[in-house]
Amino acid sequence: MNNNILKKYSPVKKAATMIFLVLVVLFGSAFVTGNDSTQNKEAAIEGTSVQPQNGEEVQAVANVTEPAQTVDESDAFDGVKQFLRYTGFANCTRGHLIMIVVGLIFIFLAIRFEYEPLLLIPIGVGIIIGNIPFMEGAGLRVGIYEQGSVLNYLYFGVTQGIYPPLIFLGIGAMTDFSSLISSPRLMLLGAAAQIGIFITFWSALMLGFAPPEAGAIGIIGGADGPTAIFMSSMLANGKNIMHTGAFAGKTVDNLIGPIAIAAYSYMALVPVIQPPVMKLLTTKKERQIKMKPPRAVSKREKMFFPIIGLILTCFIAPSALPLLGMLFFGNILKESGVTKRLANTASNALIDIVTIILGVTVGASTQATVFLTDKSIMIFVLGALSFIIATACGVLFAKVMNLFLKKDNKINPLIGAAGVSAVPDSARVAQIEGLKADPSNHLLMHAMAPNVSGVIGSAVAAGIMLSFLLNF
Amino acid sequence: MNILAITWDWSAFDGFALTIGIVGILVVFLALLFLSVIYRIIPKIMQLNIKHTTKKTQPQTPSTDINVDFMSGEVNAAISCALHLYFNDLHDYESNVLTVNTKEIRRQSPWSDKHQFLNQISK
Repeated sequence: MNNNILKKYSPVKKAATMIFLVLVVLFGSAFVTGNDSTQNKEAAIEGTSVQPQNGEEVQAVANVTEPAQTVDESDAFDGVKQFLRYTGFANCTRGHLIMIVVGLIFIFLAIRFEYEPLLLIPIGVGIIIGNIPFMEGAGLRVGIYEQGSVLNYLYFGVTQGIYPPLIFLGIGAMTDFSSLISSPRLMLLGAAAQIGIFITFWSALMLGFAPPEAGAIGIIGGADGPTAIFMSSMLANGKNIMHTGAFAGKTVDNLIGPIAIAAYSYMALVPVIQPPVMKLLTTKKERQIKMKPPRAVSKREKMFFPIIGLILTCFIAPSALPLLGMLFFGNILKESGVTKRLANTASNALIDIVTIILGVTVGASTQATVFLTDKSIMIFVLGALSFIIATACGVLFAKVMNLFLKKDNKINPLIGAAGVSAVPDSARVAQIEGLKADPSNHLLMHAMAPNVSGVIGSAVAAGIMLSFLLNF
Repeated sequence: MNILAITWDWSAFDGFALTIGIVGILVVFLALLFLSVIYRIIPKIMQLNIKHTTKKTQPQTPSTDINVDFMSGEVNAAISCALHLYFNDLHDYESNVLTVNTKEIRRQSPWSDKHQFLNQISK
């Protein structure tokens, strides 16, 4: 069984994945230097009519509004011409093609390597749906940024931050916090990994992003897709007007699409990004440290956990209430033992429905005219940096903790990497790397503790960011 | 835009940014440290009462050699597996129906069908 797990993450597959990523970046950069489809960006965001680029399109739009008066051969020919102008082929730009390729890569990664397929398949299909070219501003109401379209209605849940709390409800109803309750000291690893959020925030500021945008970008380092979407919908939604400093009077950019795509892409690539950092920062002897098995946790303790956690964390960071409140509410449903039906719905049907809608709409929000910008590429670079820093901070903090612990009670530093809250992928990576160092060393249960505390930590960090930056 | 020529504006790294970062890191640590301390204390409080009552009712038993606090992963896995099978009714069930075949089953086959033989079977 272990061999199968190890085979799954073979270096060849990792290399193939990295090549695909490089190709994506190259395509993106090629597009940005070409920059042929960003002219209608602002109009597309607002869902208003778009200024046509050439005379033919002016004629096409005019034809839509003017009813046909007579039917003869020339009119029929014009009708065919008009139909052709409405096809995707006539409206296709290089940006659309690039994004469709990106969508196909997502689907490929999900099917071939099983990297977060539940997320990458909906997002990949969403990217393709969102980048089917059509005549914008012709009143078709099909684009995600066109008011009144079906996709626009579904996207409302993203822009208003409705879906992330519902996802958190499902996560809470699914998560067993036993490992965390049995080893509370491992919670600190979840806190250490959040340092990546704030270092990325500083980096984004220095790259020229406005503070609210930088705050939303920083959360990518929390490796938590719903939190990243929630933060970007609050801080980088293309609507808020800033009041302070050099940015006073300016409107924040709409970065929901790039941030969500970056967060979910890197979450899916946790098995590729984390192992080199973990190996670089640990010795083989450290990777072989065996930890004591966690103690049994009573049912009463499990019931106390979400109640205390809810009250305590929400008092510290009330801005994170939608996320933390729903997370702990879901866990109470699970642990109370008397609401099994509700817990089952939250952890199965509800989270599945929301995941489908969230994935497709986030994918569709990457419409080339809005998505392919220099800022998107910078967000992807910052996202990678954020993940690497978060992983490194978790591992290094575990090593620091070991300096103060007794010899028979040491922590395997590999589980520090699980402090980024990509549940349960980063814990699984810690388990795999532990098995590589010592085939009898199972770290999964230990790694789950910092993993779930990372979820709480990133939500608290998001709350702090919101309280500082929401009225910037 | 030339992506490789990224310019870092160090003036953006001002007091406000520094405050958000440091306060943020400290609050995240404090929140989780506080939770961790509470969860370290709660089991002790809960067990305090249990130990107190057991001490009163039961005489002290001599300590056994079995170390209950430390069990190997294999033992844990075996116990977990057994409990999982038990609670989810996944263990094997016998049908509890006994049947005795009274008739001998004779299967017809070209290999054993005497009507299809060309030769008489020697008796």
